[in-house]
Amino acid sequence: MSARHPPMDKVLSAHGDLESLARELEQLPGAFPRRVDADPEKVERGLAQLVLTVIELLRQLMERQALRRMEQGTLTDDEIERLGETFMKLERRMAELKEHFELEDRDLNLSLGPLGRLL
Amino acid sequence: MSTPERMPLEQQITLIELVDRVLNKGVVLTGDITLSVAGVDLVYVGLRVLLASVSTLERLHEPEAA
Amino acid sequence: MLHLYAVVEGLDDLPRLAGVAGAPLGRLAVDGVEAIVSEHAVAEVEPSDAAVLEHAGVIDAAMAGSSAILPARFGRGFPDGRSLEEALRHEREELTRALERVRRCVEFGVRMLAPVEQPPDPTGPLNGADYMRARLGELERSETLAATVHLALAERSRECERVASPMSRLLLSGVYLVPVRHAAAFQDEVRRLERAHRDLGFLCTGPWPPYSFAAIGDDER
Repeated sequence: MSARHPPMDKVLSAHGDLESLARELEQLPGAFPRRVDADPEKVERGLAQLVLTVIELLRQLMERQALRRMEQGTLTDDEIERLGETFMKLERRMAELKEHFELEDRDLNLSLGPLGRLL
Repeated sequence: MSTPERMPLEQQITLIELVDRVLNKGVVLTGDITLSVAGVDLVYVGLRVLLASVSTLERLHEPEAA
Repeated sequence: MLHLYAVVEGLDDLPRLAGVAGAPLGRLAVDGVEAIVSEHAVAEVEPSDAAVLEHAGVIDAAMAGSSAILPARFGRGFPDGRSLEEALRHEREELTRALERVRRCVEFGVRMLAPVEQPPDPTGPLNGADYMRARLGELERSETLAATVHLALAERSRECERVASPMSRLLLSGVYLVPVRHAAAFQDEVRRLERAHRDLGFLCTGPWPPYSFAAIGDDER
């Protein structure tokens, strides 16, 4: 049976960093099932991947929350300073953890199923 | 079909866009059990609840700043 | 079981191609709305890459031959013609409204990608407040940019939907329902916006059948 190929006339224009763009799109629901790694030897890494993704998601959520409040003027200067320090520390810690588990940024953007759209 | 990694980039992107539409968009009729609800991981459901409450928190904060 | 491809109006002939797994296409009409289907001996059709492409191919061909089309999500199918008929009858009003909504329209998808973030200056001392101010600046710039581009495209669409994801480099993910006669103007606008924002990544795909505007009733089902 001849396999059909993706219609080539659907990309009307694409410019810029296409590699990055493709990687971002790969995180979308629907693309994810094609990337599942079923190798049992990689279970530990897979677990780290899942956990760090959740932590990264929460970090971004909290940072966005804080930025919103900063925008609205409901944070004191002291709070802004402390939050900023904390987020920077979290970012550094996340970088260390990623290095330890040999994970790239792209590994930490697991498709979140139906959540994908909310993000 | 060649694996996605070996496809030219534009073709890869088209496939992603197409799959996203076919699997996640489109009309759904009652009587047709779709893939969307069945088998959703509990982690995702929990996170969805978390996100919903964060949005609510954001909305609640707005009147304070007004 | 019956696999559903689309609900259509004004379909002359069935598309001249095979459906998923080579199954021949059939049609089923109920009170003015018509379903394009194929019959399968299995209980469920797996959404493999091939099946997804075949499904989309049928929808593409059907759009050319109909006055209005609602692409169907790749679902698990209907046990028989009777259950599909019942579903069509049950949703007939909503389907008719949805068909009217997308009549003679196509869908475009536009995505906008932020350039790679410059890491904060390692030489200068970056305190918490500096960090927050920098982040807030970035966030506000991204949001303004995405809103501007989206608005420009929304003005050239019958309907649109935008997903905002400030948590990734994808500043804008929008889908736009555009009447066919305005499609060229829409594409011109995309190109104009690309030229105006050269440092950003842009992706415009289409014209698609109106997948993103085909939903009826409760989204959560």
